[in-house]
This record gives sequence, C-alpha cells and structure tokens, in this order.
Amino acid sequence: MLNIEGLRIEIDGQEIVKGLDMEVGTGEIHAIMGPNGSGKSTLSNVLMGHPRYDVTAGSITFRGEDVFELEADERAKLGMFLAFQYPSEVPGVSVANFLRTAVNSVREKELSPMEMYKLIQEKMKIMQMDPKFAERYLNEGFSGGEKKRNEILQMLMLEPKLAIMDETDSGLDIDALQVVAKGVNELRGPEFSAIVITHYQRILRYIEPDRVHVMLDGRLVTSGGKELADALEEKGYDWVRQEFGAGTHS
Amino acid sequence: MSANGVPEVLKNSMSVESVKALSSFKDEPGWLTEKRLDAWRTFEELPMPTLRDESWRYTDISDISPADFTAYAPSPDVTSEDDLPSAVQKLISEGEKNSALLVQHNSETTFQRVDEELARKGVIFTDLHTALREHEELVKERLFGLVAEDYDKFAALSAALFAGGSFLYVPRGVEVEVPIQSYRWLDATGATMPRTLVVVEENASVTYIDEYASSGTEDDEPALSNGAVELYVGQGANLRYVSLQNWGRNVLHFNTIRSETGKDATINSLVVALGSELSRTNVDAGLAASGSDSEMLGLYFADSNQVLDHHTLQDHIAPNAHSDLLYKGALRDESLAVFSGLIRVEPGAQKTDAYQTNRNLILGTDDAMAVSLPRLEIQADDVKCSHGSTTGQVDEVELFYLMSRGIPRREAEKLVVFGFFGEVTSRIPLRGLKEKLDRAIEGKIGLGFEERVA
Repeated sequence: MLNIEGLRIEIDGQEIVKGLDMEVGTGEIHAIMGPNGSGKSTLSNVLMGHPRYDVTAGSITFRGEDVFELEADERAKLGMFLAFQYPSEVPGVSVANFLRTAVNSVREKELSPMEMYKLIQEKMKIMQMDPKFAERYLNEGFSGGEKKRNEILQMLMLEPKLAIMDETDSGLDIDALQVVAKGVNELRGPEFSAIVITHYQRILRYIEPDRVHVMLDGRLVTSGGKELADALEEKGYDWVRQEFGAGTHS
Repeated sequence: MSANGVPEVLKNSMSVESVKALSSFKDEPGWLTEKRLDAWRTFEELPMPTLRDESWRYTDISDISPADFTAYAPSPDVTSEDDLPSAVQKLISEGEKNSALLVQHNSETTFQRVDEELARKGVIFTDLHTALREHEELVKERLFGLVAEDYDKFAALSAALFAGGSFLYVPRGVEVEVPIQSYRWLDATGATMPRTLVVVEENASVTYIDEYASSGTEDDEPALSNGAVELYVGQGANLRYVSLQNWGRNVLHFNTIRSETGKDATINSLVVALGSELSRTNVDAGLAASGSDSEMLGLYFADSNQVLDHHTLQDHIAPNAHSDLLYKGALRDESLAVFSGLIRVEPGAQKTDAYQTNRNLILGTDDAMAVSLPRLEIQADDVKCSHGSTTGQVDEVELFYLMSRGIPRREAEKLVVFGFFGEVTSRIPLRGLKEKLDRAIEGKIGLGFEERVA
C-alpha cells in the first residue's frame, strides 16, 4: 500500500526528517508515536504533498505510484487522505459545497444532488453533527473539536484507501475522541489502511493499531506491536530517549 | 431617435459648438441650454487631474483628453426588441427579469418598455430627453442637484454634453416588485454620456439596475463613457441600485454616483467593475436625514493591465444614520485597483453608525497592485465608526487543503475566489444578477491563471 524509503525532509534549510523507512500493508493500522518536534507532522504533510517542505532524499510509493510525481489532488484521487492537525479556514465556502466538490472530484461518476445530500446527512449522523453544520463556512469559527469532526466527516465522504491522521486526538475530550474513533472504525476493513500519528497512547485504546512506531528526532527508532504503546504510556518519552536517542546523535 | 438629422458638428470632437448643437437638436428648454453652456465653461476652466491631485494619486489619466472624442455617437433605428443587437438581446435574456426596460445604444435611447401595471401606478421610466419634454418640472427640480457641474471635470462634461440617459420616478407609496433595468451599449468610438436620475418618493420602493456593456477589444479605437447618477430616496423609501460596468477593453469609464436619503430611507447600492481599460467611479452616499441607512457594496475584478478605481464617501450629515460599506476586489496579471474610502461625520451627526471595509485578493502574481486608502473624518463625539482593509495573495496552504481532498488546483482556486466574493454576492437578493456575476468571475479566473499561480 505505502512504502517509504530513506526519506529526508527539510524546511527552510533545516532537516526535520532524517532518513525514514516505513511500510504499511493493505488493511493495516499503524501508529506513529513521538514527542513534539520529532517530525511526525512534517512526515504526514509531505505524504500528502504540502508545498512548504523540501524532500532532499528518498522515495514514497503509494499503490505502486511515485507520489512525488503527483499533485495533492492526484494523491487524493489515488486514495490518500490526511486528517489535518490544523485545517485551513476557507471563508465563503460552505462545508456542503466543499464536500460536494471534493466527492465529485474523486469519483468517476458524479453524484446527483439528492444522492449527495443523503450521503452528507448519513455521514454527519455518524459523526453526531448538527445538519446545520453543512451550511457553515469551512472551518471558519469552528471549535477545535468541530474541526476534527469535520476532518473525519470528510474522510467518511471520500472513503480513502489510506488515512493519515495527524494528531487528530489532540485537544479532544473523551466524548469527542470516541466519536472520532467511531468514524475511523467505520471505515476499517481489509481494504483500509491508516497511519495514526499521536503524542498520546489514549486514542489507541479506541483505534487498535497493528503496528506501533516510535519517532524521535526525525527517525523511527523502534517499532513493535500495540504493547509498545503501553510501554510508552508507562515509561514516557524519556525512556525512549535514553534507550534509542543517545546513539543516534552524532 | 435616428441617426438622420444629427448635426454635422456633433460628429467632431467636443466644443462649445457641439453643446449648442446638441441642445438645439434635442429641442431643449432655454434653462437647460444655459446650464449646458455654463457646464462647458466649467469643464474648460477645470484642469485635467494629475497624479499630484490627492484623489488621482494612483490613477494616471495624463494621456487622456476627453474633449478629443466625438461628442455624439449615433445609433441605428430600432422598432422592436428583436431589432436590438443580438449581444444586447443576450444581455437582456441573461439578466434579471424586469418590469421596465431601456436600451441606450451609443448616444441614443433606442428601445424602452414599461409594464402597463407600472405605468398605471404612475411610475415613469424613460430617457432623459423625453422626460424633459413630458415631465419638465419633475426633472428640472433635481437634475444636477447631486452631481453638479462643479463636482469635478468629468461631472462638468456630463452636464454639458449628456445624451440619452434615463429618468425613473416612483410615486409615493408605490412598491415596484420586479426590477427596472437599463442597458448602455456602445459600438462606436466616440463618447457615450448617459445620466441616470432616480426619484423614489416617500415610502415607495424599487430596484434599478444600470448595466454598461460593449464588445470592443483593446485593439479597437478607444471610446469614452462619462456618466453621472443621481439617486433621490424619499422619506421611508427604499432604493436598491446596481451599477454593473462590463465595457469592452477599449473603453475609458468615468462615473459619479451620488445619493441622498431622506428620513428613515434606505439605499442599497452595488457597484461592479469588470470591464473597460480604465474605470473611475465615485460613489457618494449623503445621509441627510435621521434614520437613513446606506448599504454600499462593491465588487471588482481586474486583469491584464486594467485600472479599476473607486472613490467612496459616506457622508453623515444627520444624526442617527447608519452606513455599511464593503468593497471586495480580485486582481491578477499587471492590473491596478484603487480604493479610497472616506467616512465623514459632520458636526451634529451624533449617534452615527458607520463601517467601511475593503478587501483585495491578489491571484498568483507579483505584478498586480491594490491600493487601499480607508479614511475617517469625524467631527462628532458620540459615534460608532470603524474601517478596515486587507490585501493578500491566495493562500497556498488553503489551496493545498482543498487539493488534498481531490479538488484540482483550478477548481480549488475558483472555490477560494468565489468564497472571497461570497461575502458580497450573498448580500444581493437578485438571483439573475448573482448568476451573471458568478459567470463573469468564472470567466475572469479563466485561462492562464493556473500557470501564473503554479
């Protein structure tokens, strides 16, 4: 599904991701855990094609395609989705209009207005969102929780093959977190893969990962099963730094 | 209304002789001939504005000589709506449904129609020359009252040589439900100088749309459009006025739109600038009586080397009045947009409530320039006023967000631009007009934009 090799990323001349390899198979849920500043968000933005990062080395293939050859919209059409940590506000564009444009862009055949309306209503219900929400301008004046729900709503509408969730859990209370997790689990199946990027182990109670990776200073320093997340919760990132961090600095 | 009988002198550039000839050709009353001649003298006395003049600091018209244009451009005969140029028929069919219609082709009014029901209610809608013949007292009282010949050089020229134009009169208490529309069409290289005079009497209401359009390109000989619009809104009355400028690229457009609102009267104006090579529009709202309300919306989209200039004034003369201005513009290529807005609160205009916002969106270029000059001049102490202005590029991160959902770059840009203008268009309760604007905006975004942004 996704194959990352030797990836190095810079922003404004500073190296953030310093040689990263990772493979996500079809139907697998991977978690990437790490402290702030370890490069997690940079990785997710680059996967989707954010314009402000420079990839200096390495490759990313998604469903057999070199993603660096693809614009963000083409990556989306191929089935990639990023739930943003800080989604942009787009004044004057309603959630409904945006969803309509997006869904009809990725689908081969456009949905009729009635089908679209029904689909939006159905998915909003899963996310426990007020139908009036669809008429609001995209992310404008949304609370943190509303933004996150809105991201997952988009994911449900687009039904991606690979969802990357960039700290979707941060800032959410337990109820909102459960709603978000429900949205992700809604898509879970043999054809759906996900990378759940998080600082905390909490969300992994609701979205159970197949693999857990720990990211530190631009590299994946260790990987394991879900028990690794439990160990992290118990021992904290200082333990990771002591265990894996020292030797990686030159 | 035919080209026949047009005095030879009107086919030359402008002079005192063309003023006399026009007035006599139109068989005008003596007071108007005198007025025109006075105005011509004022026009000759006033110097051409230069970049040294405060209100012309950014719009260079030094190579324009208005008097060199032919004073009068004749028009073909029309006996029915079917005889109108097909482009005009298309404009009409794509426009708002109307209850009265007037078409000015070059310097003459070639077609007019008023629904019987309106005429029965006493609504008058006709060209200015007919109005001067048939309703002289109504016109005389107010013509030049708001846009006087000494307002500026172009207003002087308008007073001296206006031709065609329109007069709308809505009697007391009459509510006109369906909009009234005039089209100014230009396919000559001379000057067109329409004047609009609107009188909405006490507790009456009406929507009036002035649309300027032509098919000329930048390769055609230049043409001049010089207009003046006077809007009188009586006590408790309501006027929605739209000026939609979509001239071809060979036209130089000068227009001054001034309104006066009575006690508890409301005016909603929308001024749109899309076409022309250079366009300068002054929009002045005089809030002359307490409780009056002026909503002023503006929308402009400049491309190639267009210059679109708007000067606005919210003139609070009376206390307890409200004005709210929102002008939004997009720019691309090497265009220039100027917005200069003044809120003036005169002594005694207490409890004034006045807002002014100008926003510019620059689309993928470093060569376009938006000048935004919001100003306040407050001489009363118990007022609420605010102004703001922003100019920015289309945000790449915003585009990335939209594209990450599968929306191609061009579509994403379109969404952002429509979203930007949505703040203005969502406040216009005219569906046909809104669709027309959407199409025009889409056309402006058009080809070439993608490469420039990438």
